[in-house]
Amino acid sequence: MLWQSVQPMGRVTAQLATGDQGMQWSGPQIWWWIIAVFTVGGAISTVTRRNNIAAVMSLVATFFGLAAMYAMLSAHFLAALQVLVYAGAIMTLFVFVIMVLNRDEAEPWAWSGIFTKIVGVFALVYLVTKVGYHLFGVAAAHPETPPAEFGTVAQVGEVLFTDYLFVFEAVSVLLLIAVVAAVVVARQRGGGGTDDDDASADITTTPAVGHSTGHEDHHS
Amino acid sequence: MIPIHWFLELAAVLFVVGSLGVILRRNALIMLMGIELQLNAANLTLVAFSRAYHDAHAQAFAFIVIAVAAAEAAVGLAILVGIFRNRRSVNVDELTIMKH
Amino acid sequence: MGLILLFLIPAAVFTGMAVALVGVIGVAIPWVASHPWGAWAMDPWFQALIKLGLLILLVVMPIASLLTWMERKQSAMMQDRIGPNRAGILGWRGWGIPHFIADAVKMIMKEDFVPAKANRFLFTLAPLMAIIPVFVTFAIVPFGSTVCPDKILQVITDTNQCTNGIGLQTAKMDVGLIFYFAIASLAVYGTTLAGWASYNKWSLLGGLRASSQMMSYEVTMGMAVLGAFMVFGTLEPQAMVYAQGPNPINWGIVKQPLGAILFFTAAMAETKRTPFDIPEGESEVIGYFVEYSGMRFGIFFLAEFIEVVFLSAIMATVFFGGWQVPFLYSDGFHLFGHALQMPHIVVVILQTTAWGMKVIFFCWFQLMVRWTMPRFRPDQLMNLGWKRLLPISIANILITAGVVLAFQAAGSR
Repeated sequence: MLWQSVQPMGRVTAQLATGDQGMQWSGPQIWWWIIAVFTVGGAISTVTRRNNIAAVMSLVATFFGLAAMYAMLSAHFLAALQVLVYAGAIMTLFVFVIMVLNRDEAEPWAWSGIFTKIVGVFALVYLVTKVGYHLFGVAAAHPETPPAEFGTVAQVGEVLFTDYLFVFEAVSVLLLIAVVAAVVVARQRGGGGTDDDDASADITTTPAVGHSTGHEDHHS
Repeated sequence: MIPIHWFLELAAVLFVVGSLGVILRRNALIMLMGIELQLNAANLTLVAFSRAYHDAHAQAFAFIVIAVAAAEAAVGLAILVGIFRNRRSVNVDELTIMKH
Repeated sequence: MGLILLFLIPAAVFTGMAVALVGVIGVAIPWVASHPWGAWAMDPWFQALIKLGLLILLVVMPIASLLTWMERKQSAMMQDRIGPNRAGILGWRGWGIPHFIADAVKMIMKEDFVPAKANRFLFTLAPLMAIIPVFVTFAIVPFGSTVCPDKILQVITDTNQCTNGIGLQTAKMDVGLIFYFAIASLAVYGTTLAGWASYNKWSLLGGLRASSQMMSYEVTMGMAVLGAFMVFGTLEPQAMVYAQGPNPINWGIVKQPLGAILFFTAAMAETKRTPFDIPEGESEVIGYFVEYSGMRFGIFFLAEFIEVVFLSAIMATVFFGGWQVPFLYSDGFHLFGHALQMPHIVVVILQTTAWGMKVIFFCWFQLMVRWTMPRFRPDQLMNLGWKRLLPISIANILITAGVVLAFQAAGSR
């Protein structure tokens, strides 16, 4: 149903409101290009950096560009969530782990498995060309400005809590499992997690010992 | 007015960049970031179609993708920390113990 | 005497600022826009820019600067010292207030030092990442109701009915406080990058502690206001203030006392001040900004104080009625059947001043907490965050949801 209503348009310029003579971009379109270059630049920088922290910061920039894209698509709630969850939580986790590992990569590219990689790249190029062929020139079914409540918290929330209630609950359970799994996998083996108790025990006992000996010395 | 297919093409470019990162890099951290890029490209497609059809269902879907991506990143990074603790490396080419 | 002075001086400064703020936004700009040569003044981008700029220049920066002085004077008072009283402008010592100018001059004059092995780009980026999010978040704070520029001297009953009213809030966006959480979570990068880029083990330790602490307490912070979202039925701060109304019985602190306490605690942990200052740990760890000197350090310092102001503003907005003055409606005071009518502009200035008083009060309260409580140990901090505050905030959400549902079912929300 979705693919039936998606019809390739002949030329890009045909949709431009001001496009009487070829390419003549409006203000939002210029903004779109600036943000798009920013986003793709961040993405390329992410996968080419040798320094992990630089890669993370590039990815954060990419996510900001994507959030701006969502805002341009009137999905304001998702734009905020994108910054909140991706830039604010997930990438902070990356930074945290990188600081724990704290290693620069010696050799980012390697010849090992080059054959598989070439096959992979070719498969990717084929797939993207195939899909891109269908996507190019797709026109929106409703190009007009969406209603004011489109993309608000209320609208997305209503869909989420009615049509997708089960999925929502399943995802929450998944997140809980992920939290427990992350703790179990990353925890130090052998210590049994009693490091804190030992440390606090040390701190509380040491002054007490010192105090008692001092007391005895005073008496003797 | 911005044509909707611009967004779709941008998503395709981002997906390619993310996939190249996953395929070509050997650092598991960068590979995880590549996966995040791919997920985001998919999200951008969802949101673009949501705008094209004035339908919030796709946005709910993107919301769920974000949540799953958070779970994936948490578990993936935990595994990385565990691997690093045992092997002192996050280079995927060196993690071949299951092969032999 | 001293305590009164500590509150009165910022309050007096703020009252002047409130008049200037309302005057420029509500009177001067509409006056410019009413002329044929001044139509650009009604451009929404210009309006947003001027509102945020004036809010930061006239309110946030003066309060943050005065806070540095308040903090020293407060601590001196609580420790039975005299505190700063040396610096003066042309012999005017003003209870030590010129000290913040002296501090600023000192920081600007100091050597701008970058460690040899530090990552220069990230080292420079870190202070900016710490301070820019805090400024941006002020965009959602409502600092007054709506000004009706056409009838500033008349008595009006409903500001929503006037044409071309100017809302005293920079950006009215549907996502509201989620925007605050999104932007505020970026401040983590400032601290962690500072710790990492300095190429110093102590600062790395401080940065690690800062990121783990801020990540942990962000969860509780978000959970704590969910109850307020449910009670007021909105995420938008201005709408929340309208929902609370001028009657203090409807304010957030009455409807969400637990949420208010939880939010305040978690947000204080976010600002990394004394009960929670493990990332800095001035006396032993010497946190993430060890290698920073001069104005780069000054920016971290300033960002911390602006965070204090912002936390106070959010506390006032969500839980203490924002700019609402008790029993002051848009046409004047109404109390026990008596009414005292007031012109519109007086009401608006009173409301903005009241907002400022609330903000200054919470700033002062944070200073009190800072100089009263000892620092937590890291494991105590994590236990408090994950094992106490988080379960309590989830229980708060469940109870609030139940009560809200019950009221809805009873049909008298």
